[in-house]
Amino acid sequence: MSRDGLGEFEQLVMLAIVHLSRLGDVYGVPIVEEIERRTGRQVADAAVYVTLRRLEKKGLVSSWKGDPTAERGGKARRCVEVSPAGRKMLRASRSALDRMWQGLDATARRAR
Amino acid sequence: MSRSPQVNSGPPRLWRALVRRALPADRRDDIIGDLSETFARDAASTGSGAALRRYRRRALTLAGRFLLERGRERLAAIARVRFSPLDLRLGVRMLWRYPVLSCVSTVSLALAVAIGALAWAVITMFLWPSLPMPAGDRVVRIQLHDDISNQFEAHLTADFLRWRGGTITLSDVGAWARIDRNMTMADGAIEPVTIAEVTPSMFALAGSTPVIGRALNDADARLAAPAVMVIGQRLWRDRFAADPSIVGRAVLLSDTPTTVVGVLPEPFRFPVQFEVWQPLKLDESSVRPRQGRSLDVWARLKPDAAIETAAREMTQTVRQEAIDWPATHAHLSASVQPFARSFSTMGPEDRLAIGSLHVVIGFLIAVVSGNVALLMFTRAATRETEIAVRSALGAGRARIIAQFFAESLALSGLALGAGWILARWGLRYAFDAFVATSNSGRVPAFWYQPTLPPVSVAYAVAVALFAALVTGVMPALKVTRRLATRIRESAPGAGGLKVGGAWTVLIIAQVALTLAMPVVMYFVRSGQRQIEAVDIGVPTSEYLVASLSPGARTSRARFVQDVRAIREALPSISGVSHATVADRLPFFAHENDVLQVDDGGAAAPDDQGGYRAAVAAVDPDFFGHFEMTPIAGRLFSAGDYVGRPRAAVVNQLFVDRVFGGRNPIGRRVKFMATSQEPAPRPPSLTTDTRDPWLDIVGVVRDLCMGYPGSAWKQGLYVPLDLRHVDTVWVTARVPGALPGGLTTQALALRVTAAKIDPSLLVTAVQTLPEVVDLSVRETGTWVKVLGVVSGWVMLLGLSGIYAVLSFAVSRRTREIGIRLALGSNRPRVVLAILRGPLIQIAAGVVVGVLIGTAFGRMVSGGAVSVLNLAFCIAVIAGVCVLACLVPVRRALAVDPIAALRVE
Repeated sequence: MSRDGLGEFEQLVMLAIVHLSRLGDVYGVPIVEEIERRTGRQVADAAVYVTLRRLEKKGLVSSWKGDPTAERGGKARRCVEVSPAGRKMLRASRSALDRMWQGLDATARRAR
Repeated sequence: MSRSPQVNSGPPRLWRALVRRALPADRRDDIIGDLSETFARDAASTGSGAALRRYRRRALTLAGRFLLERGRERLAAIARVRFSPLDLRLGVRMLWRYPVLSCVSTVSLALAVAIGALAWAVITMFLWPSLPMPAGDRVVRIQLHDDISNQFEAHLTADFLRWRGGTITLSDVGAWARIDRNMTMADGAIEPVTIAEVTPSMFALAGSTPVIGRALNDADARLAAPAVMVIGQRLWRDRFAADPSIVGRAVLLSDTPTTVVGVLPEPFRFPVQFEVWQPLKLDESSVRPRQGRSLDVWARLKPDAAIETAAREMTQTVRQEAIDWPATHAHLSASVQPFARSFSTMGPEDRLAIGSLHVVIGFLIAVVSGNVALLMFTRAATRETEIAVRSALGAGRARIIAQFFAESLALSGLALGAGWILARWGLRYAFDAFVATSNSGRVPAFWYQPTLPPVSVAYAVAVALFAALVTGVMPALKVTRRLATRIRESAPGAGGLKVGGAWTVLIIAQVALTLAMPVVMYFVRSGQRQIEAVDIGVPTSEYLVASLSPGARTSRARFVQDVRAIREALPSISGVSHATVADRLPFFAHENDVLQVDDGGAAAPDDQGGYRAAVAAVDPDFFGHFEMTPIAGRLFSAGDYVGRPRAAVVNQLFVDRVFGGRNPIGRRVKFMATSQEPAPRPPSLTTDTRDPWLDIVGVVRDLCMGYPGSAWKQGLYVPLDLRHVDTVWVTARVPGALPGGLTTQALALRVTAAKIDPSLLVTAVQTLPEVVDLSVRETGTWVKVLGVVSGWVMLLGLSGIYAVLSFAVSRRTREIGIRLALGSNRPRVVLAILRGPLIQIAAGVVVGVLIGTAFGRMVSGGAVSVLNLAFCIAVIAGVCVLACLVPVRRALAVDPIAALRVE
């Protein structure tokens, strides 16, 4: 992970949050499941929580206490969303990657 | 609200507690909630067993990752720290602002630095000694080892003559032999000196130039050359008054006038600790393999030659010798070792013991640093408002940590200076104490010098930096964590900052140490008192003792004749009433033999199947000399000294312990061969092999047959046969002599001995109280060292307990005020407030008592007496009361109105 840009796993976590935010409250458990579902990789819960905390400290993700749920015995979840700064950073990472890939599509196909 | 059944069953509590401890406080509940939710889902879909396994795995990973993250964050915080000279100036100012705390912390850290530096000096001195001369680390010692007898071969003359021309890897091959002679000093005194007979090449090897005169040369080493010697500067200064005309003067060495040709500078004493050098004269025409004089051989490694290569070359050389001299060299192997290190008698266990000293020192430094950190932490807690103001004015966490670190650095710097001075002084003191006690006043090998090596400097600086980190950064991290939240939630004197688990362990360890150390010192001091109070029933100041040994060329018959002549001549010295000889005297170490009793003793025999006893061989008038009369039976008569010894006299302890107090007269004992000592005694005491039994003919009172500090032993006296002993002790009694009043007789004894036989070696001329003093001094050194350490640890403990209690009081002043305002009883409130710290102190007390009594048991060899236990408890009570006094008074004096007005 570079100091200014986003690391690969940070991007995965943030993208999972963006995907899930369209469906309802986003918190740790579904983020882990979403990344595993979309990437096919086994993901450690700990890695997601540590990354979420780090992203929040950088101001790229914000969190708040949700409503109490029966599933958790009346306790609330901590929900997260990508902040405007986080969205901007995601877009910047995407365009940086696109620029790097430009002109390499044929090479990539040959490599496959 | 209904709950799902899965959540009701819940994840395992222990694992939940574990992960809870590792998670950051602001996310703890959320992540635990997520984990429980996943566990419930898993339990519903895959069963509780699989869910449990997954939960454990997740909990472990989470705990591990967050702990790592916490460590990384702390390191990053430290790395962000930037200093300015202002920080350091503020740090110095803080030292003045808190003078007591600064003094306690400086003294504590200074002692830690000194102990660390000293430990390194000792370790370097003994584990890695090197010769203090040009390229001293390339000088080696060559030895031959007999693989059959498992001993080093001393007769190397034939081998040396082969090697002396040098080899592919070795140059400057030389040899030396050690001899003892009596030297007549400038004032007429005759003193034994140990002389190194060396090959003249030594002077080139050592690069040592005489301060006056010349070195020895090859002409001096010719057989027919006149006797010459070079002496050391110390001997020249102390015994010849630094006489500039010493060169060319003839000094009597035993009965040979020997010309002094030069004086070598101090502290040169190569090869080991010599102050007189003579040329080694070898008669090459009569040399036979493994015969002739005992020699030691040195050499220098040639440039670029490694010691391993030299060892391989010497192995080849000795193989060739084995072919040339098969009868003598078949089982010999060569050994090439660094010169100074080859004299170390330390085995792997000793080296491990010295190495493990590090662990103890490291532990000590950690405890001390922790203690000072505790003090700094409590000081920081009282400065919470100041820190809050700084924070409000824009100082970041790193900035505040930097300030704390600078303060600790100023403190550590001061401690480093003080510790360094202390270490230098301590090393000199320890060295002198070692020479005076353990080394019996003899000068140690010249490569042992009381100087701190560079590694000690590095270690002291590292300790100071470590201490600055621990005492500055740790409290700073603790104080600045969640600072904003704490300030929001609390008011001055209302708490907020808490003492955590690690600090609790530190407090307990420190209290335990505080209490254990004075107890340890008490037991050592008791041992010293026991030595001082030793009483053998006669005025010891009236007894002069001296050791007699034959000179290098004295025959056995001549030695026997000399000893008898001295014994007869001593009463003619003014004031001397009587003299006797023995192979052991009271207060000296005695041989411990295993004895078999004819019909078995009353007590159970030891693991060797016999009874251990101290044994001394004595003259017939030995008992009268020490005013011993027979309690039962008789003493030795002239008939007991004819032929092999057949009679023995035992002491009262022997009767009590071996025979259970029954009459031993007529019973018989014999020396047993044991697994440690296959031959049951030196020839003087082995009895007739056909009839090895000794008849017990008498019983005498106990005379300390061992070191004065040791427990008195059961013992046995047998007739002395001078023909079979190498060294005997002569003792003269001067009735009415006061302590220190036997100087004239001591000088007269030496002169008398020299007149009888100039080559006879008379050493250790001293009075009996001086023998006891040696033991007292040895224990006294330990008492002093322990006294300093105990005082230091006590200071630490007092300050630690004081800091903890003061912290508790200052943190909860407002609570005390409210409780008192609501009408609570004052002592009860104080007790409630101090309950936590007092529990910590109590836990420390329990551990301290356990350590102290365990040590007491070890020292006293059994149960600890009521008196000792009472002392232990008194120390505990005293220290705790002293430390609690001020904080408790402060808590009792809290004014409710003043405490509440602060808000």
